[in-house]
Amino acid sequence: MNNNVTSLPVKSRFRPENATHFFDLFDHNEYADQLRAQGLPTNLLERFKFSNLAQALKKASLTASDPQIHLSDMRFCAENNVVFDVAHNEPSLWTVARALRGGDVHLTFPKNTKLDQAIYLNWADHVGTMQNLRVKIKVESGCDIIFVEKTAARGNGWKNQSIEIDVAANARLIHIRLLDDDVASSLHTSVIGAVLARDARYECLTVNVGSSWSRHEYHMKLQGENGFAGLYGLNLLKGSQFSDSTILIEHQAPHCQSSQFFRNLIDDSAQGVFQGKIHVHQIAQQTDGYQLCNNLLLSPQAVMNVKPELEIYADDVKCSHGTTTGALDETPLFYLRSRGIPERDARRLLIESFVGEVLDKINHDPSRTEADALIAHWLS
Amino acid sequence: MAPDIETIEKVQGLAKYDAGFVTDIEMDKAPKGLSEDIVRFISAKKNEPEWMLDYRLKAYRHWLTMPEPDWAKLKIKPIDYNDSYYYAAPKSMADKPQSLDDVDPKLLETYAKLGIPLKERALLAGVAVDVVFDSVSVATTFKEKLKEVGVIFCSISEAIQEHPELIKKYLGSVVPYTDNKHACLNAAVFTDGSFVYIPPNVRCPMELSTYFRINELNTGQFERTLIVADHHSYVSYLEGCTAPMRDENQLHAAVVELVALDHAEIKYSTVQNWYPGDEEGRGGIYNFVTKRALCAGVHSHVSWTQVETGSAITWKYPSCILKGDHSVGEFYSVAITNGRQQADTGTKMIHMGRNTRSRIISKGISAGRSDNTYRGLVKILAGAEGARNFTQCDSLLIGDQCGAHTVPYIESRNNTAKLEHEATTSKISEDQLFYCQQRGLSEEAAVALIVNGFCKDVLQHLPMEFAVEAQKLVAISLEGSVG
Repeated sequence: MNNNVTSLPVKSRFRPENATHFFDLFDHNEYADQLRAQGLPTNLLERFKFSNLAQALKKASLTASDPQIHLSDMRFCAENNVVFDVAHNEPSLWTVARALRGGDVHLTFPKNTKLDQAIYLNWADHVGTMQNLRVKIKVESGCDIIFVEKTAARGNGWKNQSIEIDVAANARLIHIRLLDDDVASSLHTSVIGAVLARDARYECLTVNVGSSWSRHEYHMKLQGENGFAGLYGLNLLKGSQFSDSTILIEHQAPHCQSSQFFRNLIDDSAQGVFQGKIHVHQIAQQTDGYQLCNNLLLSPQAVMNVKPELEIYADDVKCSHGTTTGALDETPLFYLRSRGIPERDARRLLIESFVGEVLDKINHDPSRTEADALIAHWLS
Repeated sequence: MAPDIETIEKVQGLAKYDAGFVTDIEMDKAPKGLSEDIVRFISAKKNEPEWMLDYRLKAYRHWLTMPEPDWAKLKIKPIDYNDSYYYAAPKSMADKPQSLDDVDPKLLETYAKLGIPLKERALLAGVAVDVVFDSVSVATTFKEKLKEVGVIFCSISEAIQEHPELIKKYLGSVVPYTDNKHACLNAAVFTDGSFVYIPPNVRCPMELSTYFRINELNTGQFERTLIVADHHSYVSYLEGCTAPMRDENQLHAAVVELVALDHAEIKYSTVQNWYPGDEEGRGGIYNFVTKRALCAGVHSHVSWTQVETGSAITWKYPSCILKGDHSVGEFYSVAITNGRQQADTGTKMIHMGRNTRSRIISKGISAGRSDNTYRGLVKILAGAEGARNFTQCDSLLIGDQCGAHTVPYIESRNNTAKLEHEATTSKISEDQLFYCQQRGLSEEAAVALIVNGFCKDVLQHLPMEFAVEAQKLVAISLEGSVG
């Protein structure tokens, strides 16, 4: 059983800029050496151009602790060795997750496992601590799994997370993330790396209404023919929240499909970032790649930075991306009001439909109910 | 299977670059290499006033401290700045020809061969031309006629002598020498280029044009263009360029600055056909160009149209700073890469004023083993109430050895701004190809036709004479990319 965390000595104040304390947290492995050598990612890096992690961490004064997690179904905990490799030539959150001590959750779903119920991972309290969690999910062929992650911690803290996913041939994994950490002072960083085999499907929906500062990276590798990766995201930000969704989809086999659909709703002086990249390798003929990012700025101080990228080396492909940024369209608003709906309600209706289209991408009723509740709360 | 004659001919056809000849002409050159002495030498050759030399020296000293820009998706062999000549002028130019009749016939012949009308044909074409041969401007046509309406159109060296007040005011005001390494080098060693001033309320009666030609071996060309359109004026400006085929890479680092005052409109069109190098990627021009327009006045309008078919490496981002309220910036681009060419090109639209609008249409076509990147920035500053941007960038891939990339940055700081971006990547559809071939077109002709259709949105913004040339260029550039 490896889901329970190896005991981690609680360290004194965790301040990344204070190197000595930071280094105390290091695990003894190659990643630790790397992190020591490279340091944390800064916004001088192209990939971190819009997110200033160092500045966000400056305000955090944290001790390290074990991740406080609860898993709804322990039957599938089994040591596995999902290996998701990324180039380590520059500082990354991936390295941070490896290099620092933390907890591990390993899940292995044997061939043809089909579950009626979703598996829930609740990552609860983090008050005053930095928690590092490494999740590995191995989905063997023919499985059909729904995995739901939830966070709802209050108070300050930093959650850092790596999720390695291996979806074998003809298997399907639906991954839902409902993130509702404290908006005032908590940080959440995550890196999801998934490898998809032939005919595999991986779909991930992230609904984020929490964290004062968050960055979620997704790195998909479509390695078998006819694989499908669907990434959907909804960020609802207000106050001075910051959230960054950074995506890299690598098409490494022919006949694969990928779809990205992200919507950001930004109020007050919050800031949103979307960086999406479809990389089609030369072998990946007949790729169908799609990316859409719509952003609504609800206040004059709201900021949105978008960088949708395509990098294509195969000629027989269909790739497209689209992005829009602007305020709520006045025309439908006028239409609704002309039908006697008060402005406040009309706005709400339009916003609900704007976010609803993303939620519709995944069909899982219990999560939908919870997501709707999170959104209703955000709107109220 | 042994290659048949047709195949062999086709392969030979690849090296077809009509402008690749060399003109044998006596040249006056500066010593090889780059140093403060060379900067002084150039300045002295041009008989420049003290303030100009100071500007150049300041730029040169700053250049030494600047890093090479390395963010573009380009593989550039390190450039040896000391292995090149920074000044080369035809000897016959030493005692300034007074009129076209005095110009060395060899030079005229060169331009005639390139199809550039300098003498009698110029009248028919109705285009005023400034021609720059290596480091100097050899002739400017229609000067007198333009003078009648108050338009100043001359080489920049002449402008420094005769209109120092305008040069002092505007040179470096849009692209400061501290901008980037290539622009900085240009500020230090620029040798010639064109200067245009359109006085208030004047609609320039003819198209203005500059034709750049690199001829000498191992010579870099550093020209500088400055166009100022005073309030309520209009000008359309064309730029063309070619170079001989050589095995070495030659550096071309130009700076173009446009200033549009209240209600002024500048239309700037480029057909860039520098030598692209051979099939193996030997030789060709490094085209590192900084082009920027300042829409300083209200309701000013700048439109960039470019057709990029040449150069081994293109690094070029014609941009607009939309400062005046209601100003408009447009960017229409076709970039074609074949062989082992690399292009990293796009635009920047910086919205500062209220109700500013910008429109970006970019078409990238990659064939052979080339890489073609669109890189663009749309930035809405907090004060840009009601700004509007529409961006469309489409890429077409021909063959499976090439790459097409899109890297747009969209940064919005104002919620009343509306931004749209869309991009697609595809290949020529088999259906279209089949249809054309079934009507009797060869595969190559069919591809040329389809690609021209793909570029139509951009080509239609070119002035007529250029549009015809560009269409032909599109076909030639793609030769050998199919079959």
